Amino acid sequence: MKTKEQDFLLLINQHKGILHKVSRMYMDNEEDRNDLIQEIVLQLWKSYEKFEGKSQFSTWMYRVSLNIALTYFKKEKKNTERHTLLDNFDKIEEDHSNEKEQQLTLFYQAVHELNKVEKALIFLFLEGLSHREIAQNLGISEVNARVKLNRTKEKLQNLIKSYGYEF
Amino acid sequence: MNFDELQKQWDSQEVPNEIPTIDLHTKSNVNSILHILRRNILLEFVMWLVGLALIIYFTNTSYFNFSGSFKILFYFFILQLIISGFLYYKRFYYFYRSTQKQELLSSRENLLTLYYDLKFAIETYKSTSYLITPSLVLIYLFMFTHEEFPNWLESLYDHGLFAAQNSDKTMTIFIIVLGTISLMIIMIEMMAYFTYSKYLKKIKKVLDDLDQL
Repeated sequence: MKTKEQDFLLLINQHKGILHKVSRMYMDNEEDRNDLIQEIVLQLWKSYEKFEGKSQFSTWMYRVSLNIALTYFKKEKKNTERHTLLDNFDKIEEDHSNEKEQQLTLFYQAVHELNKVEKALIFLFLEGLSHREIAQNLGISEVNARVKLNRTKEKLQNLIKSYGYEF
Repeated sequence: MNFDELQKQWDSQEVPNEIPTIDLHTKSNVNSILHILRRNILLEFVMWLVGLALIIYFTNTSYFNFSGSFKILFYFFILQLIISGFLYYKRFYYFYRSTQKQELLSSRENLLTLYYDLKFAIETYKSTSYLITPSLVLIYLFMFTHEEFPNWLESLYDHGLFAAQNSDKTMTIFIIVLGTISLMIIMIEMMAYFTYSKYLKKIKKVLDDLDQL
């Protein structure tokens, strides 16, 4: 039992990037991100027995993580959310030392204005999945995945432009 | 910035070295819909059991003094409560099981399974609750009128004659019956909405976003 748990934790550690990226896509503050990571890891652990290794661990992890993220709703505290958004904008303005990180922060800021499905599309696209793989993960047709992804990319561009940045 | 640049930055972004400490042997206590629904189902099940035990206990005290054929009718009502509870908790159990199988399905299949399992459970919950309402009104009327109960039943049966002779009492009976039924309807709808349906709406919203062309 211990070995199985250790194997699982090792795999989670190897793929922790997926957890951090999904949580950053879906949640805009540290507390909610940690809660989402906890929920995903616990669900992965519960399902680990059924993981037969037919697909890669990361492929399986994408599926579980997104299924959890799509049905995860953060605590209702609208005022705090608004503060977090504004605070982050201030940080972007103040910190010019790292342009790449600044652009990424801006990207995440725009992502938080997308709906849950659009977030999933952008996440899978940035993880390098093909249209066919995105369609399989989300359970929609390949054509639908392509159309939706293009629309979401356009929406994202417009959002970033509306902040006054070139895209 | 363009998407090629973004892709590079995405791949090279720094992620924290650690993930939050998680005890794999504890239950989730976070704010996901599924966690809230599982908790609500469990809470309501406990409340249902406690309610059932209280009804059986209090109606067996000397105050209510159920006896004779009425006691048999009362036990039939309890049986009705148990069967209706069994029916909708069976549906909620199917939903609960669906929440444990997320790794097998695509996002759309997963959302559809959750949506229809939960919707079916809510509909069963509401219909069985409505079905027991008439019996519940009768029991409530008995508890309210106690020893006068046979007279009250008689007056309901002969309402035309009774109304002509006792207009005040008729109004009281009418208000009690109508009030109890209205209260039951409001309670069933509110319980169903705040405990389950409002989360069903959230799942539906994600499903609609996924299906939208």
